[in-house]
Amino acid sequence: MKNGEVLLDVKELVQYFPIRRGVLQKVVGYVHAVDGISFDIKRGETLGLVGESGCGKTTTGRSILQLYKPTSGQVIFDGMNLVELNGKKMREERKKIQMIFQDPYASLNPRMTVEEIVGEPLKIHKIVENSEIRNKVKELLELVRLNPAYIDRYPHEFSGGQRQRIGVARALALNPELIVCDEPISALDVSVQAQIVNMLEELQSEMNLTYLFIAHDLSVVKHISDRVAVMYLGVIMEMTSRDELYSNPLHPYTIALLSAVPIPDPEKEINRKRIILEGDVPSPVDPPSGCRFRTRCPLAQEICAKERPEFREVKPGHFVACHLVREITPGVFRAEI
Amino acid sequence: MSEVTNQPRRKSPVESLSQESREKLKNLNADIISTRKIGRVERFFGKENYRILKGLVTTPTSIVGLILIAFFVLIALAAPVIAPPLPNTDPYQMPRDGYSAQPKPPMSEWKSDVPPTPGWYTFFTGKEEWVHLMGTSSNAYDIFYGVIWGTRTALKTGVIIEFITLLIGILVGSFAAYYGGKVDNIVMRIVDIFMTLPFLLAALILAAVLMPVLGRSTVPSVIALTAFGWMNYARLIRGDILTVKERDYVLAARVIGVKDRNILFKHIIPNAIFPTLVIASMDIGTYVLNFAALSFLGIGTQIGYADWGQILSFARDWITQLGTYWYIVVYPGIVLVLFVLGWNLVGDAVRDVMDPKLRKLQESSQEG
Ligand SMILES: Nc1ncnc2c1ncn2[C@@H]1O[C@H](COP(=O)(O)OP(=O)(O)O)[C@@H](O)[C@H]1O
Ligand code: SF4
Ligand SMILES: [Mg+2]
Repeated sequence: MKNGEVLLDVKELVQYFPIRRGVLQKVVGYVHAVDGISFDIKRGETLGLVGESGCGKTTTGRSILQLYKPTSGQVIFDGMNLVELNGKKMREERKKIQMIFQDPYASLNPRMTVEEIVGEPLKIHKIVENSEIRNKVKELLELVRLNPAYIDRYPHEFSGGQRQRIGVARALALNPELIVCDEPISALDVSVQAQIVNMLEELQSEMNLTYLFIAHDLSVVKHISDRVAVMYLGVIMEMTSRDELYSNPLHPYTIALLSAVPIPDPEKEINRKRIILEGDVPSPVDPPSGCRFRTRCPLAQEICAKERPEFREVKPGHFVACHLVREITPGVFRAEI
Repeated sequence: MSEVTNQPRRKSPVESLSQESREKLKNLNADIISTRKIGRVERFFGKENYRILKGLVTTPTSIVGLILIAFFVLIALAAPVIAPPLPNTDPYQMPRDGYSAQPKPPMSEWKSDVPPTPGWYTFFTGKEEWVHLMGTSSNAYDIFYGVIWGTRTALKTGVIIEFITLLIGILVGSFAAYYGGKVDNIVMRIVDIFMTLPFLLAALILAAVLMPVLGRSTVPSVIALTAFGWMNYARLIRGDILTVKERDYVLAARVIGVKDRNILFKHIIPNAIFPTLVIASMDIGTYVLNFAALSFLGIGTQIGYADWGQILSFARDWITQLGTYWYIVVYPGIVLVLFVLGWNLVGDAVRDVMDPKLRKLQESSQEG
């Protein structure tokens, strides 16, 4: 398959978590963590997934990897619907989709050495002979710019950035095609964040990787993404190319998120339209009817409470879910009352 | 040697790189930050467990406790030297000096069936004749002998009870945590029901029922104490497994394709079991105390078995004259108290190190 072809196609993915109570564990409600999202990622591309904490980004990543059984929807990877695979087949497919975790302190087993951690996937999938694992792990450590001499150390002997590199080495061990990076730098010192992002970018071009890159603010993904999807309360609100999103955001939520990102140019800084977000994200147990963003949206109308806005392609490649976005004058789109 | 699956071999990541970029990567190794230096012990046990162990050997009360425990272990090991048994008899049977019901005071002369005089006694006193160092109880059993060999009984029964109890607790707790949902709920309700039973009373009743069936030995008490002692460990391990289950490294194991059972045994249990093991091992003192209590109440070993509880039980016959026959109670009483104290001191320190916040909370809520 060539670059540019669709590698991952997520269709109407829904992930609810039942809330159980009482001795009989009766289901009393659901957390609507992901509520019908669709997007695709092309081979070799990086899709940034952005949204405030608690809006379902991690859940999206995990549902794609079938760590949770999706409530409904399809996750088509390389032409195969992962949702329908049985345990054994899925374990085979896991080789091709890997994950980098947010918290490098929690994602490495403290009782295992670097060799055991990075070597485990090699062993399970019999990628190399057992006698070769050690050498292979050393190669992988070099690949993530870690000194192979540390191979017998335990995770707690490393700094956060180094641990994250170990996590990346583990993810690369199976030579995957897609890597879900779940806020891989949020937990790190600012000083090492750039190092890790740069490394991920270099690895991407060296190994032709495809990334789903999750972040909670738009400044991080701006650097690494080709396209960006903005998520709010389990729903994707806007999705388009990076340049289009930053220069011409349409959804009020995207504008609000961008308002929090400082612009280096002082003139633009003064003139730009700002939406300051107030309050917290509502509970996903009982999300607002209609448009999920309406409780915090300064433009909200009656229709916003009644109907869920369709996720539509207003311009080629520019998707947005808002009732009010329309073409104001030919070629100019905006959310206006 | 493991077989390599015969599907076309994928290029390794490094192989797929150009020579040039490999060189570049090597140079980039320069950004490695120096790592924290770590000793071998800490490396073996892991950071958190190491902290607990370190707390154990640095807290003063815990050190006192450890010394006491070590002292009793030494006594148990050296019992044949400290109080040599009569040749060709069961060493756990206390030797008796005749059949007199009347206790004899400490240092009184040993008349009949005298066991070999221990070398240390001769060494210190220069005397060849063995005496009743701590006197005799009713029926002329030698108290000193019972106290020394009773240490062995205590440690043995303590460890056995602890081991079985812990095993049951861990199995039940892991089972509940692993299956979760309804299974977990039902199992934990059963645990709750067991917890509401008054421990010693329940054990007493069960042991009393078992004794006629199984005969007089340590077995009925061991079974009875185990049957009502496992619940705390089940709760502990279940809680820790549930916590560990949510850690990212467990998810990471699933992502790379580790099978569920291996996840449980390789990633979850090794990271969850340590606190339960430590807390449980410190409960040995309590089990020995309860075992002695059952013995005192007349349930347990056959008459004359070297067992602190039993010696104490002889005092029941002389309850009105304990001023005269104080030695029946005082000597075995002191060793029992010191033994339990040793374990409790260490146990308290362990709990403190493990969860100081929780502990303070409990104490303040008890006061308030
Ligand atoms: N395993 C789970 N069980 C129940 N609720 C969950 C679970 N995982 C996440 N949630 C809930 O789903 C929502 C989305 O969480 P998450 O995907 O972690 O958001 P994000 O990664 O964007 O911060 C949150 O309200 C969270 O509490
Ligand atoms: S649909 Fe309505 S509430 Fe939602 S973003 Fe658009 S204007 Fe705001
Ligand atoms: Mg998250």
